[in-house]
Parts: sequence; structure tokens; C-alpha cells
Amino acid sequence: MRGYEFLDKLGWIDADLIEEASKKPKRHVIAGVGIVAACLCFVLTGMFVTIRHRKQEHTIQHWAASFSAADYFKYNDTGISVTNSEDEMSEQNADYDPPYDETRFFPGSGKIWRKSR
Amino acid sequence: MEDGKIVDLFLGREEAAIKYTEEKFGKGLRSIANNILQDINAAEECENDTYFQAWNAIPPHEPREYLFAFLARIVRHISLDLCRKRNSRKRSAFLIELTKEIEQCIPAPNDMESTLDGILLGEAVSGFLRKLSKEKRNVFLRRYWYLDSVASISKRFGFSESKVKTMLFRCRRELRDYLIKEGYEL
Repeated sequence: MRGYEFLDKLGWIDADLIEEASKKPKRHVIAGVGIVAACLCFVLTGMFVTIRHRKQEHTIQHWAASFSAADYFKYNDTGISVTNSEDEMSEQNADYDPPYDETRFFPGSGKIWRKSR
Repeated sequence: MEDGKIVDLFLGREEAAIKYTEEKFGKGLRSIANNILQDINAAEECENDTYFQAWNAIPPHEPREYLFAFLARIVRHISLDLCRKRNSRKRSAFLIELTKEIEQCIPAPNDMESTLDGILLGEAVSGFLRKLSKEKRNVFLRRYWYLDSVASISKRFGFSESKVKTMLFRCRRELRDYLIKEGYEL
């Protein structure tokens, strides 16, 4: 049988299948909305994670001006005991090598901590 | 107007049946004919011939539930027949491409004699199509029943052209295997 004949005889395919194929498919509208929703979720999750990460990374920058150096050591585990007296603190820290690499300035204390290594 | 009422008009031999049929299905029927012939004037002629044949075929047929499929089958047959009669390679380039594709489904494409009539082949292919997913089935039918181009199918279903071609290739291969397995001699 030649291709043309075969193609012509395909005309006898059941009517319900022909009717079904004549209707426009709806599925892809739903799939499109799903893809957009998935992209939106991905972007929002990315933004949330980035913002949260940045907050954790720059905690020191949000240190309130009213806090003193003693407060810093009180709320961060540095292994240094906290004293209320400035003189005692100065004595304690005179030969102390701070356990961090950055230079830190605490408003009100008048001291600049630098790593001496 | 509902399909059943249009069929009732045909059965009552009322000429309004043609008018309502044209209003409801004219565009779809012209589209099928134009897909095959690539000529809008010839497509309109085929459409008119379809109404005439439908007028003669109802009764005895009463296609209340599938009037569009009934008319589409007629217009498809008339258009394919006209395309063959024109016998112009240039004009029917699209059809030649389609027949080459569909020949891949035939276990013995060089056999000139057909040992299977259209109704039996239709039943066999329908049985095969019912086993496919709805998506694959409709892609196959749009290509080989409605004779849509691959570009048009990809636009309709939102697929890439290469995906449509791959789907069609697999369907043809599966249909061939199915026909061999079922013992159809073509």
C-alpha cells in the first residue's frame, strides 16, 4: 500500500478521536502559570536567603552607639571576662592580643582594638 | 445551534441545514481543505462539495454526536482526491512530504494492492491511538488526520518543532510495530 492510500484511509479513524483532536489544548496555560509561580518562588527564596545572610555577616555594624565594649564581650563569646570599671579593663587588656583580625571601634570606650600580630 | 438540531434539519430536507452547518463548521472545514490543497479557492470548492455530499449522506447516516468529524472526514477525502487529480508535484509538495512520512508506518510500502479496507484500517489505527497518551494521540492526529504542518502543531501545543518531530517519529515506529504485531497485512 502506498503512503497516499494509507493517508486517505486514516480518514476512518473513530469520530470521537477526531473531535478530541479538534479542540484546543488547555493544559499549557496551567503549565505556564505553574512555571511563572515556580520562578517567583525561586526568586523570593533567593532574596530571603541573601538578606538573612547579609544581616548575620554584618552584625557588628548594627551595634548600637549606646553600647560599650563591655557589652560586646558580654554578648560575644571571646573568652575575656567583663568588668565594669574602665581602669580594671585597661589593666586587663594592656598586654592582651585580641582574638579577631579586624580593627574594631566602640563609641564611648575611647579605645581602638587592633590586632598586634 | 446544536449538532442534533442541524442533523434534524438535514433529515427534514430543509435547506437551512446547509446554512447552519456553514456557520458552525465552515471555517474548520475550509482550514482542513486548505491545509491539503494550499489554495483557498479550491478549499472553498471542496467545502461546497462537502455540504452536497453531507446532504446526500444524511439520511441514512445520523451523526448527531459527531457531526464535525463526519463532515471533516468528507472534506478531507474530497481534498485529498482533488490533490491527487491535480497531479502536480509542486502543488502537492506538502502532501508528498506527508505520504513519505506515513509510509514508514506501513510494513510493506511497495505493495500496490491493498488487502485491508479503510474501515478495518481505521479501527486498527484507532485501537493503537487509544493506547497512546492524549498528548501524543492529538499530535499524531493533527499531523496525519488534519494534515497540519509541524510548525503549526508546535505552536498549538507549545512544544518545540524538534520535540514534535521526535514524537511523530516514535509514533510512526510504534504504529508500524503495532500493525505487524496485530497481524495486519498492508
